[in-house]
Amino acid sequence: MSDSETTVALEIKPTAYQQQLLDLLSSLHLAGIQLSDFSKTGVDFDAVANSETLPAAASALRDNGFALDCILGIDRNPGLEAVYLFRPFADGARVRIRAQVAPDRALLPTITGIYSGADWYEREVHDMFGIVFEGHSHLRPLLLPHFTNFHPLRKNFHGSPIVIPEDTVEIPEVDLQAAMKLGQTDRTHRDFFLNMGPQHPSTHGVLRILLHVEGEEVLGGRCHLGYSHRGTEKLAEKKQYVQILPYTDRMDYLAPLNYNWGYAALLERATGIESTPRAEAIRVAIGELARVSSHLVWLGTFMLDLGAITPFLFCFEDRERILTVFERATGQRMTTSYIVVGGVRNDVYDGFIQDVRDLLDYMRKRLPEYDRLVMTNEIFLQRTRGVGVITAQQARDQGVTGPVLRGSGVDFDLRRDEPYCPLYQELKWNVVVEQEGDCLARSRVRMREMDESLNLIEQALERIEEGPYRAKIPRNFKVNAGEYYSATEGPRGMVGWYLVADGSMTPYRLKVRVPSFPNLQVVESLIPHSRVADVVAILGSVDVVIPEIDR
Amino acid sequence: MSIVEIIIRLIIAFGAVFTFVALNALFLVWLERKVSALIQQRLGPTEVGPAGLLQTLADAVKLMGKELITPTAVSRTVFFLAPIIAFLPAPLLVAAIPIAKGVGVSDLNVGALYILAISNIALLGILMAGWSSNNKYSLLGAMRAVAQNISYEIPMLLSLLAIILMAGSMKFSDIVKAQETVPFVLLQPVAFIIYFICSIAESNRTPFDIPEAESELVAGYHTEFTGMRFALFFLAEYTQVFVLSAIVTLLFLGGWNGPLLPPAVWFFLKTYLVIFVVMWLRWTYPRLRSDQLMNFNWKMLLPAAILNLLISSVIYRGGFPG
Repeated sequence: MSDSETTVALEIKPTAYQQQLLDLLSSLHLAGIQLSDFSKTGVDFDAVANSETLPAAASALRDNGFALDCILGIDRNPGLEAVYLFRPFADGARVRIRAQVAPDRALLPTITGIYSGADWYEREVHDMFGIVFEGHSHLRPLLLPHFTNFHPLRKNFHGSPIVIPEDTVEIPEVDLQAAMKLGQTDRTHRDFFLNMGPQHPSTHGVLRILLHVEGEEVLGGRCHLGYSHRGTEKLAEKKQYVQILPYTDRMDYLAPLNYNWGYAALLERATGIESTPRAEAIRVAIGELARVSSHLVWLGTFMLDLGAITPFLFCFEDRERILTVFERATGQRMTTSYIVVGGVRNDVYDGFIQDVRDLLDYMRKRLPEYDRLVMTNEIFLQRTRGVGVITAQQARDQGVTGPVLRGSGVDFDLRRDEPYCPLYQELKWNVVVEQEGDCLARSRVRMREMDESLNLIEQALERIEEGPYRAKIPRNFKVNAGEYYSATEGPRGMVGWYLVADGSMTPYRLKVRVPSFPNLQVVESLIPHSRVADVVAILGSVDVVIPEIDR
Repeated sequence: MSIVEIIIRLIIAFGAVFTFVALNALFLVWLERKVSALIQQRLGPTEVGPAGLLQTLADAVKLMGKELITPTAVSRTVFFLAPIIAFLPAPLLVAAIPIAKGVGVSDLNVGALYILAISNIALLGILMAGWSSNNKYSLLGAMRAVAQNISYEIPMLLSLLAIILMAGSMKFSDIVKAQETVPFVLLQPVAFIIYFICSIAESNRTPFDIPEAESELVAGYHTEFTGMRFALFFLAEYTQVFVLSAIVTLLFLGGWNGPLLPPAVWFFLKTYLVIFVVMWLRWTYPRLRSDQLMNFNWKMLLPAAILNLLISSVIYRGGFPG
C-alpha cells in the first residue's frame, strides 16, 4: 500500500477522454479541479463548487450525459460538506463535486430542477446534517420522524434522548396533502387519499405510500420512509472496520452476500489488500447465487402482487435450495457476513462445487418453467406491458441503476463497466438489456439475468483453484486517511460505499448508496394517472427492499 | 296438503339446505387447500382428521369463538346487516337447484331466472359491507365488486337465453331433459365459454378476484369483519361457487344425465369437476386489472354473446330438437 496522497494533482497523464472532461470542468468556474487515481479512490475527477457554481455545473454535467450517483453529507467539524457524485453510463469517469458550507449558515442551492433524483438525496442530507437546499419544494424529513429538530450525523450529536413533542405524534395529514400540491385546484368531491402502508401486503416491508385517488385512478402519490431506519451510518462511525460487516448483512436482507462483497471491495480499495484468486472465484460463484436467489424472491413477490400465488411458492422452494447451500458454506442462511477483506471468511466445504453444480442443473430446468408459467401468460403480459414506463433520460436523471436501468435500454452493468473483480472480465457472459422500459422489460431483464448468472457460476466453479481462501491481514487494521468510493453491482443495482477515513480503526464517515433508494423514488413519478392496481405492479417491478433504503 | 305437512316439509327443506350449505363450504375449503397444495407442491392440511378433512371444521369452530369486533367509525346497523344479506341468497339459491329428477327442494318453472335474480342480492350485502365499514379499501373493493358483477351479468344472461331458447323452458329439469342425447356444451360451445367465464367473474375468483385483491386492497370489502361475520361472507362465497358450477352442469353438461351411476352422483361429479377447474384457474393465473376486466366484458364477451344468441335463434328457431 502506497503512502501517497489519495488525490494526486495531475501527476497522472490524462487520456484524451479525461482531457475532454477536464476542459469541461474548467469551463464551469469550479475550483480545485484534480485528476484522481481511480484504482485507489474510486473517483476520477475532483472539483469544488460553491452556491453560485453548483447548479451550472450540475446542469452542464447532465447535458453531457452524466447521471447522478449520489449526494452525501460529511461533517468536517467545523464546516459541513455536501459531496455530489456523477457518472455517465457510457464511460467510466466518476466526477466528485464538493460544496462546503458553514454549520451555522448551511445553505446550498437545490439541483432538483436539474436532476429530479436529487430530491430524496437532498432531503436525506438535510435530515442528517441540516444543510438547507434552497428552492427544494418540500424539504421535510425523509428518514427521520417529522418532528425531528436534530441532525444525527453531525459530529456533535451523540444520541441524546429524543423527546417526542406530545402534540405532534400524529403525522399532519394536511401537510402531506399540501405537499402533494393536490389540495388546491384540481380537487373534486370524488377524490380521496388512500394510505398504502406502512402495513400493507404489497409494499414489501414497512413503506407507506400516500395515494391521491379518484375512484380507481391514481392522481399522485408520495412515499414515506424511515420506518425501519436504524442509523447504520452513525453506528458505523463508532465501530471498527471489521465490526461493521454484520451491519451490511442487514441492509438488503435478500442479498447480504452482495453487500458483504461491496463492503469488502471498498476496504480492499482503501487499504490496497488484494484478495486471493481462490477467494475471487468463490465470491463470483456465491455472489451470483445470491443474485439468483434475490431475483427469485422478486419473481415470487411480483407475481403475488399481480395476484398469482403459486409462482411465489415455486420461487421460494428454489430459493430454499440456494439458501441451503449458503447455510452449509457460510453458516447462515441470510445474515452471512461471509465475504470479508482479502477473501472469504472460511473456505467452502468439501462437495460445495458438486452441490452448486446440482443446483445449476436444477435451476436450468426450472427457469424455462417460469417462462412458460409466467412470462408468456397473457394476463401477465396485459398487466405489465406499457405499464410504468421509465425512459432512458428519466432513468439517468433519477440515478436509477440495476435491472430497472437495463430495462430502460441503458447498457450499463458495474460488473463489466467498473470491474471490482477480475473474473467478470475473463468469464463469458452478457449484460442483459431490454428497450421498452416498462414492467415487462424489467421482468425480462431479471429473468434473463438469472440465466446469465447461472453461466457465470458454472464458469466460476471451474476457476476455484487450490490456494489460500483469504489473504493474510492483521486482525484490526487501519485505513489510511483519505476518501474512498467503491461501487458494486447488487441484484437491485449499484451499491456504492463512500468512506472517509481518518487513519484510525474506525471510519470517520461511511455512506452507503443503496440502489433501492433512487429506484423507489422513480416510482413516485410513475404513479400519476395510473390505476391502483398499476401502483402495485410498478412497485413490484422495480423490486425495492425497504430496510436498505432506511438503513 | 295440510298445514302440518307444509310446516314439516319446510323444516326438512330448511334443514337440508342449511346442512348442505355448511357441509359444502367445509368440503370446498378443504378441497381448495388440497388443490392449491397439489399445484404448489405442498401437502396441505394433514393433521386434523383423515387427510386433514376436519381442518376446516376446526377453523369454523375457531371463527365462532372469535370476538366480533365492530370498529368505532362504522355505520352500525348496515355493518350488522351486511354479512347477513350477503349470506341470505346462498340457501335460497341452493333450494332452487335440483340434483336429480324430482330430487331437490324445489324445481321452479322459472328456475334459471330465479337464480339470476336472487344471486344479485348478495351484491347488495357486499356494497353494504364496503360502504358501512368506513374503510377506503373496503369501499374500493365493494365498488369493484358491484361494477364487475353488474357488467358480467349481461353476457351471462345472454348466453343463458341461448340455452333457454333451445330447451324451450326455464325449468332446470326440462333443460336437463333436453340434453338427454347431446349435452348443450357441444351445441353451444360459445355460450358455454361465455357463461363459464362470467361465472368465475360473478364469484369473484382469480383471474377476476379484483374486489378482494389482496395485494392491492388488503381484503377488499370484508377487511373490517371478524369472526362469524367474516365466516358468513366466506360461506356465501363458497356456496356461490357451488351454485354457479351446479348451474354450469345443469345448463351445459347434461346435469344428472349419465350412464351406470345414479343421477345424483353424476350431478355432483360434474359439479365438483367444474369447481376443480375453477380452483385450478385460481391457483395458476394472475389477476386482471379492473379496466381490463371491463374491456374484456364489454368489448369481447358482450358482442360474442349477442352474436351467439342471434345465430342460435336462427338455427334453433323451433326449439331443440325441433
